[in-house]
Amino acid sequence: MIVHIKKKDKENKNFEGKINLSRRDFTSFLGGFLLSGCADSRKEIIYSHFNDPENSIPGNSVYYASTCSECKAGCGILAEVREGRVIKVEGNPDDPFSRGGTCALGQSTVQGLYDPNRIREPLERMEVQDNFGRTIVQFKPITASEALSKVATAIKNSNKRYFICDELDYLNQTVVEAFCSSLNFNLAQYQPFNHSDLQQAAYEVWGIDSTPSYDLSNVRIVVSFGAEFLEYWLDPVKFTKEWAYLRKNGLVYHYQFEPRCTLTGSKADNWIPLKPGTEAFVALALLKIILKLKKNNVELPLKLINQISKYDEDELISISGVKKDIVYGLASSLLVNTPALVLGGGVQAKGVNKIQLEKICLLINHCLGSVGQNITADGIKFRSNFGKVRAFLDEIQQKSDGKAIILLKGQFASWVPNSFALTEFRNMVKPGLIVAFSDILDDTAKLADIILPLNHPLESFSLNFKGGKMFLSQPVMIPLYKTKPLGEYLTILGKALEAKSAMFKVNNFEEIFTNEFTKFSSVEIKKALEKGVVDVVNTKKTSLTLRNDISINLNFDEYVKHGQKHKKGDKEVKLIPVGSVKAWDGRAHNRGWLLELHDPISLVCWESWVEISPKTSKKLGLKNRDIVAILTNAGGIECQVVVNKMMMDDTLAVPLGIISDSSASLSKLVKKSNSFKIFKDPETYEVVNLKITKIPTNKRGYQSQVTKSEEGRELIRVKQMYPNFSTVDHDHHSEHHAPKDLYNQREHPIFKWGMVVDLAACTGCSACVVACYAENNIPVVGPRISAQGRRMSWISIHQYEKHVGENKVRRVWLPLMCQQCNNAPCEPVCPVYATYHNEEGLNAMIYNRCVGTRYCANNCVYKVRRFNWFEYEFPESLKLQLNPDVTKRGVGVMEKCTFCIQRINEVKSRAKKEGRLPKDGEIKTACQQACPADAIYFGNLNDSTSLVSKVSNSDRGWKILDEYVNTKPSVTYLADMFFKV
Amino acid sequence: MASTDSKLTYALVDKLVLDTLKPPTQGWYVLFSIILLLLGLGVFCWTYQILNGIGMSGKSNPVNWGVYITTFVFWVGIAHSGTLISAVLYLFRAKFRMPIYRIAEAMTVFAVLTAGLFPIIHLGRPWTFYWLLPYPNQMQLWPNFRSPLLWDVFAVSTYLTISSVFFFVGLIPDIAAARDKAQSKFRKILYSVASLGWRGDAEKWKHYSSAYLLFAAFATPLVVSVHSVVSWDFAVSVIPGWHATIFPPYFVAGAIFSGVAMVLTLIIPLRAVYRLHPLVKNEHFDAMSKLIIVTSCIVGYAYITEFYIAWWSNNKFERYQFWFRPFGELAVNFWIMFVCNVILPQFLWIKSLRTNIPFLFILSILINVGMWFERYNIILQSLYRDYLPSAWGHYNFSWLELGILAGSFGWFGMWMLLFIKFFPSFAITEIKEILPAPTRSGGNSEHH
Repeated sequence: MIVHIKKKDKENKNFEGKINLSRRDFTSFLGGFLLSGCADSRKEIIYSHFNDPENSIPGNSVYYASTCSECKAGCGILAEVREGRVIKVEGNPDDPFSRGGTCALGQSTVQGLYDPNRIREPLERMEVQDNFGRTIVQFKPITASEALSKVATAIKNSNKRYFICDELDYLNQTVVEAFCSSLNFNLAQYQPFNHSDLQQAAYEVWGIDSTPSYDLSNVRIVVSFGAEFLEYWLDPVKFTKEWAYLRKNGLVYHYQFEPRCTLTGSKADNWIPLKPGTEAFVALALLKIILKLKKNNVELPLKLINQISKYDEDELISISGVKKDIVYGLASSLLVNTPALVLGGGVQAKGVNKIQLEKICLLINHCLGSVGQNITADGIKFRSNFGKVRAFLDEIQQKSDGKAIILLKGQFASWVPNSFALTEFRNMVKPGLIVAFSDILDDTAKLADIILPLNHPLESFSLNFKGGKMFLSQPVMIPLYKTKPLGEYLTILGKALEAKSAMFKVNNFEEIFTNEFTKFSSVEIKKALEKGVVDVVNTKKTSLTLRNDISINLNFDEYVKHGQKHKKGDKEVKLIPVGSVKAWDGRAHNRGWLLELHDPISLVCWESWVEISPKTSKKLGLKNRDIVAILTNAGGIECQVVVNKMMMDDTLAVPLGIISDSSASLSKLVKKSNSFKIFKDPETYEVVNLKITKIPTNKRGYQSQVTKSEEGRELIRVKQMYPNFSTVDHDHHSEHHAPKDLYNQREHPIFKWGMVVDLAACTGCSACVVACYAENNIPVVGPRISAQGRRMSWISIHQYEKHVGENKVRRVWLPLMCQQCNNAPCEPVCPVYATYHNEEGLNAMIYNRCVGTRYCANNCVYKVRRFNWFEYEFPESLKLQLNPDVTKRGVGVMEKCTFCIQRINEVKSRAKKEGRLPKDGEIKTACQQACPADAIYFGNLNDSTSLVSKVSNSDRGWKILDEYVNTKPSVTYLADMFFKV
Repeated sequence: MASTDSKLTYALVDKLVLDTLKPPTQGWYVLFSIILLLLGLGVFCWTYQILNGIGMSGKSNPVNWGVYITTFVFWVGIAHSGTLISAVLYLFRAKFRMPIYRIAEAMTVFAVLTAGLFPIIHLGRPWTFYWLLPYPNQMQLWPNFRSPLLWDVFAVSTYLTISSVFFFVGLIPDIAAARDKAQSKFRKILYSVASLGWRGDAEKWKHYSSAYLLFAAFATPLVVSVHSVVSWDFAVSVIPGWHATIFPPYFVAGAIFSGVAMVLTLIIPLRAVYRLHPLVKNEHFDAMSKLIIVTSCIVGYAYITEFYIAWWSNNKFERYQFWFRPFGELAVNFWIMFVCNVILPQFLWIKSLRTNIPFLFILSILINVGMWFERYNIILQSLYRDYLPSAWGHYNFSWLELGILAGSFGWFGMWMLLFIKFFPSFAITEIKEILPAPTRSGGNSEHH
């Protein structure tokens, strides 16, 4: 058309600026203009690599072995890398401990890497005046060399040097220690969720300087005094793996003593509530009864036996409020059922007697003969010592003349009680130069004069040790920003300041990594990095022999006081801290996946809560979801009430780690209710002057479930069994017969994908939920939209409280995802065929075709369909995490689980290329892969030899709601079971 | 005829009805402005919703439908009685329909126009609404004929087509009458075109009456079908409280109930403003009141049957649902519905109240409030509490939805007001049919 016009122009010799346009051309132009107006004005840029990264084939994933650095357990992980960017982490099956399992926190690690609040370059504090004369703090980017030289000068000129730091991995720890000792830094380390008390106890009992490592793989009975070993206690993924195997095979009795039922407690065969802080008393009574039963025929030092014999076991038990015969019964069954393990500790048991509790537990294990067999010396090392941190902070506040230098790493602004006034550090006192090492710009980092940004662990080298193995971390992608690992900064500083340590006689940090690696391993480093885990050579086996000077001194003060008050009829309400799998100690507070995840126990997402037993809530005049203020001598918080049946009366439980960080993009949306601030002393978590008052407001808290009860419907199955799997009959399920079908069922010629979820193994840890978010590009919607019941999680953990036997409530976790019904109610009602049944038995979704009538979601009896009420935008940096195999859904579109159809297709096409069918177990859904308990099975139901077919035929198997609605789900649940003890 | 006032003459009928077409008064303009404001509010709210996402309404995960579907069913229900009054009563030769059927038919057409918007407003992606239509396309995609929502598309569009045609055919002789009396050039042209050259000769009347009978016969099954189909939106699902075979008759009765009430709401002020007392008389109100009592009783019976069946079924989910409705979180809605739809209409057993115009007016409004709440109840209550207690949820009422609801009244009112000013809102010819033939002594000189 344009050519045509040009021609015309040439012909028209009288063309003098006049537009000579024919009617036809005019209309053509008009049409063109109209069309150009319809163009999408949004920019679309497709980047591609000039040079592809090593091994990278566009469209294929490369997996790099590394080590998770979220907690000290350090499970082996595989980082899935697509086109040079990490998109997901999965458990490393070569890790002999976690064996491919992960936890919710570990799954969220990629969100830490792509955190929108990551600091992109070194920053320097600037205080400027705004137009109104107010002082505004700004952070100005500077170069790393500039920043480091400033720090180096400051160190040179300082008279006092402090390094306050959280727990570190082995490699960085080594560098930090060398740095501090050679440059006279006072080092104090602290992380709220630590196991220093266990380590201290192990030291006092055996003289070792690490926590012991526990092996549950063959135990017959596990007794836990508050230790949440399936959640965040020591090495939860490993324990879950081992425990779940035993559970599925009916091999383990599980006792849990704790004031408020944790996830671990809810899986126990016998959850025994006791008064907060009395775990040590019951444990000591247990020890004494065992000694009695064994007629003191044990290897404990005589002095200790004498000391223990002074305590009266009945009095000890009566303090705790536990029934006597339970403890006696437990003692005798511990002697019969060996090997046995007794674990102690946990967040709730962090009272004044916490070290005594750990010691007693270790001693019980000694008496049971588990030490040396199931308990070995090569555990994880902790350095947390709050006392030291407190001493330093006091010293800085009182004595500093402004010439001190403080290196800061960790979230101390959130972790340290208000009384330390850490946040007012700068204003109140002259602390000197503060240098923060941080990966995200949070409140702690903002205290600093200079911020040195850290690499994410997925961008750096590191080493870790556990159970005689060395775990390697490696950079799985090029650092996103101008950041360095902690060790590298210190190496540069150490070299610049000519530190005496031999550690710094290297060229760079990587060299330290190689040196340290070769110290412990003879394997070629590249091979080791491929595997992620290698054996440590030349390790001496430390045998655990008892020290002679063990003594047990329980602190009775509080309980004597408490007992007296008790007699007067004045029951004091006690506040205890608890943990949550979604938060830990708040170390990952700015990750949307974890913020949006609901705590499986309290069902609260995005905010904090306080748990109260029904009786106590009645006494205090509080109802579920009321908003209350809790005031203590240290501070106050505002949060919602969660009435929890499974906890001690006269106890309030607040979760630690639900942090609102005013500098972080997401966690600033959390209501300010940081529970760390209401405990004056994080060593004992004791509280005085506790007040709880209802806030007069119309607002109510949001919980993901209206009720935890079945409302009289027989939906969930629980079986009490003898260990030989014969049922103890109180399963009242009348057998419903599925209604007859009018039509023949559709045939699925080759594949019929199916899933089995073993509720007996499911601990509710929620790793599957986070894994699903990561795999399927599920958006995080924020607190306000979440509270409207619009969260997008395709799989979610539902909680049911089921009455089993006399007055016994058992919590059952129901991980609910799309059931891929063969009689799917959602399918016929879609007017546009956006959802349909495919030939492999999946209830597939065509997102592009969906018009958004939402009829399918209404008609879904499981309510597992999720609707995009808004256009959810991912923050720019988090877009890098998106899985390219899964489309991002726009506004007005329904979405849901399709058994990770992208993974099915990937394996199918690979198999097709190789001229075979997918092998059983070759396809793993994201939830299945993440599950530390192996509670999820997936495979082809048409293949009668596949694991999933075999498991689905279990006696415990049932299909939820099928008997009522005849939906014929492809997911079989195996009834929860607990054993009669 | 006994029921016809002897003073009413052909001339008077013409005058009374055609007077409604006179240039609007100030009052009309004020009312029209208010109506346009409401419409504007609705348009604003919908635009806002399209720009920001359907999440601006109060729906959530378990409660995926709310005010929009409620309002859709409400307007479809309103649309019902028009056809009932005009077609069904025509076939039954019920004379009391004559003065009211035109306004009822207009109401039908405009209510369907309003109702038809709501499924689109309600869509997550309203710009793709046409995917529900079975239009030929390159991708050979067809809608799912098993889906009740698709049946809705056909039911509503069929109903709109038939009722508009029926409405228009009925109007032809009257438009011709208006044409004969028209003053302005615009109206002359409008009426000339719209009356399709009607001359009123015997041959035309012959064809006309057989055509009208045919359309009436066509339209009659739709009275049953449309709302039955709409009720299948619920009945076809598996949700407790929705999955019930009683739904089609229950919905049809409810629709007639609300439609008759709406006719009352419209005709009472119209009669007062245009002094149409000679045309619309007490006996008409009496007849409509009786229709209301009958339908109210059917609706009440359906409510009670639902409870009985829920109990009788011994189905835990159904039983819980029907306990939840009157005593649960949303009990207020249930009781509004029950009082307005079942208790209040019982007052019409008292004869004097059946012709008490203020009472009827208030009652008619309350009935429609009740009927709106009936649908609100069915939708919300069932979605609040379905099968899995752990998946129960709630609805977050949003003001935007109220804006769109108000807008729907604006939209409906706009058509209604324009119609009153442009077309005869009472059936001149049919009213004349039931008048005694003009006699010389009676002075009825005008023939038509």
